[in-house]
Amino acid sequence: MDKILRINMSGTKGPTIKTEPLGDYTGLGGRAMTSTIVAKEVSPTCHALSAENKLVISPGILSGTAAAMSGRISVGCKSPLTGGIKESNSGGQPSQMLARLGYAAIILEGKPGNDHLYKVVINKDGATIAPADELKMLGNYDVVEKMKAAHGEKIACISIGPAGEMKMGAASIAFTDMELRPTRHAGRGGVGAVMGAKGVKVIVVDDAGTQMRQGKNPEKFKEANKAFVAGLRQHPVTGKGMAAYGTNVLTNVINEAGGYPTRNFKTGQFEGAAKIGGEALAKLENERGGEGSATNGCHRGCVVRCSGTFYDKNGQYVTKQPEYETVWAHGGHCGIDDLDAIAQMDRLEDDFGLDTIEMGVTLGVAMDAGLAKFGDAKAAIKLIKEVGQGTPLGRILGSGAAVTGKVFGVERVPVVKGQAMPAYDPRAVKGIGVTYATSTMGADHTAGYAVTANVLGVGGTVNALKPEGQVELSRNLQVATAAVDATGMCIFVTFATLDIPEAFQALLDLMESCTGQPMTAEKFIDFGKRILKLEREFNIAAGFTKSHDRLPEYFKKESLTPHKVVFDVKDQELDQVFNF
Amino acid sequence: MGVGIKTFAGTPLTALLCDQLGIAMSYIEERVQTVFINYRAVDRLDAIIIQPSMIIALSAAMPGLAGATLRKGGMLAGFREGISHDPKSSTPVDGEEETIITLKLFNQVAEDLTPHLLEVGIWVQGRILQEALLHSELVAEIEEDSIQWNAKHLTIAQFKEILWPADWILLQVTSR
Repeated sequence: MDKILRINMSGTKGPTIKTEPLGDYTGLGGRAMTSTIVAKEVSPTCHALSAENKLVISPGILSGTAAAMSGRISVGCKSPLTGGIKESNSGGQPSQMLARLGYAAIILEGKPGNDHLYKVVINKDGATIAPADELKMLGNYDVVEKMKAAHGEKIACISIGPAGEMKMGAASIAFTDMELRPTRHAGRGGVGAVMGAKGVKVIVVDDAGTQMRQGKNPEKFKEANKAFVAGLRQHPVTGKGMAAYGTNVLTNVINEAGGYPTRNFKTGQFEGAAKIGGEALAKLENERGGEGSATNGCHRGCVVRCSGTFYDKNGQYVTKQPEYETVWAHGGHCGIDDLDAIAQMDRLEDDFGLDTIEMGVTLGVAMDAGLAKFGDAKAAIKLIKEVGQGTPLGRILGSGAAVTGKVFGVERVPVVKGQAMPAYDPRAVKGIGVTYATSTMGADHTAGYAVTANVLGVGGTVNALKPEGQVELSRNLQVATAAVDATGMCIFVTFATLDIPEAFQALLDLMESCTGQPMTAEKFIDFGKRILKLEREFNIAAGFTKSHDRLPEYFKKESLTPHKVVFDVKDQELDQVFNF
Repeated sequence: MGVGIKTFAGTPLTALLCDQLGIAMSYIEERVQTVFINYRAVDRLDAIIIQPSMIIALSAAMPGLAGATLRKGGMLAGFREGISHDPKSSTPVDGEEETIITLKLFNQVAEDLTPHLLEVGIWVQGRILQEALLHSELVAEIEEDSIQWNAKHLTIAQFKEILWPADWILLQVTSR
């Protein structure tokens, strides 16, 4: 990956395309690339939908190589949802293909001076951009079908649905999977709205005629990859459990722990959890059968294969296997215990181009506002369709949970920095609450997934049982996650790297043998710290203060059943997370 | 919902799982990575003493930060301090009080242990068992004249109509 594709949408004669060398951005990828470019080139005080904002799409450092699980791609910009810096990442095929074409980043900047909607095509001969007004207001599935008809079936697509065109705060960017379906999304933070503001409907990626990227030290790379895959296969989560049940395996367990936010975070247990959990979902998918039903990967090179395919009772394709957060947001959070209805909502949101966490949480808030009854799946589906149609009500809902709560006067709105909380109640698992509160991204469950200082053997050990241990752990997790997000590795590799030191060493060896730059645990952590500092500084310059690093007050006051716990981590402790 | 296991209050949990139910200790140590007692996450199984009507849940290792947090004795246990099981609450029990505890099995653990537990025998409340049986695929496989109820032959139609007792029933699968 030795070049950047810069597309300026503001040109008086239409958009202009430039291919540039990496320059100051050499050695970066994924979140490191997107956050560095945004921090350096975007004014923190600009309007997120203005010409001054930039949308950066960057494959991970290891993408396009033979490294297992390296197909994640990062999308960065100033977020229209949070008002701060945003990195949202996705699986799917485009990361590997863009990397093989040699692009370390695509930057969309400026803003068209007309109403045209554009299509970008990238292949081994370069990139082109042309008006594509015939795609206006099409759903992601129709867009991909039209691209297949025009460019063949060996492409990958990066696209927005109507929600992105309408510049909604919950709008996502879709990335096609191995079956060329728009099922993988950079969902969080309204990145789809920024792509919509740039006037780009779809980016078609065709890597025909390219080859797999080779590491600087191919022999060491091969050995490291072998050790890395062995670590993944040996681990109880990545080796077997994830393939059998997918991420939705968490439903019953989080529910048992009393940490499953139910009916808009009112209680910690949902009586219908067993009907929508991973066990029930896998059983249903196995009974219905079909290609890739209960087990599938989201991109080539995945050895965990935590996904699947959801077919209806007649064997017709509906959507990919809904993930835990999606099932929760539309399930327990809305009091709905019907997997077919949840899958239908997932499909609609993928098609409209919406973040399933933001939209599901918004539906729960809307139910609290009396727009529908908890448990009423038909009403929930109707509300999602309003979003896709862009009705006045739909525009409000599509702006996310915070806006919906404000418009309808709801006090219980589970957001941090304007972004909806994922599927873990922070009163039950307070360490996750620390991460929700302090993450540069707003409430984000992937911000603190990774290896800790204890595992890495750097930065001293942490006593997690002391109150300050939670803050230290959250800090270490956020730092390490930022570094993993730069590699292009799926965040699920961290289960193996958390437990198996050899697997973590193999990840470092993969980085070193790929880039030719020495990589140690210390350097890896420093890398993560640099990314987080850049993001934090951007947010401060955008106007964020300590008061933004807080959970909504009701989490401190309303106790959660069955454990009767509140979020009681002190503000002074939260303020210590970024002391590094 | 879980199933009932008849045992004695005061029994160590490991004795219940290994000695009474015949689950290998190596399986408990390696495969069962997430354990709850009365909805609280457990770190040390050997510190648990059975209390009357206890609810025990067993699961494999779970993904994600939350999954890692809930794992027994994990490095992130501090993250869920407020919902961790306090071993001190497992008080010694005087005498040998018989009790039925609730055992819940999730994911791979359920797949692995269910056939064995059915052989050992589980306790289910009558109406719940009736509901489960009548709505399962088993009903279609029952052969006419194969049902005995309190030593009396029943037709399938009679079997479906009969009102089961609400009390606990021992379910044991003796052959496959």
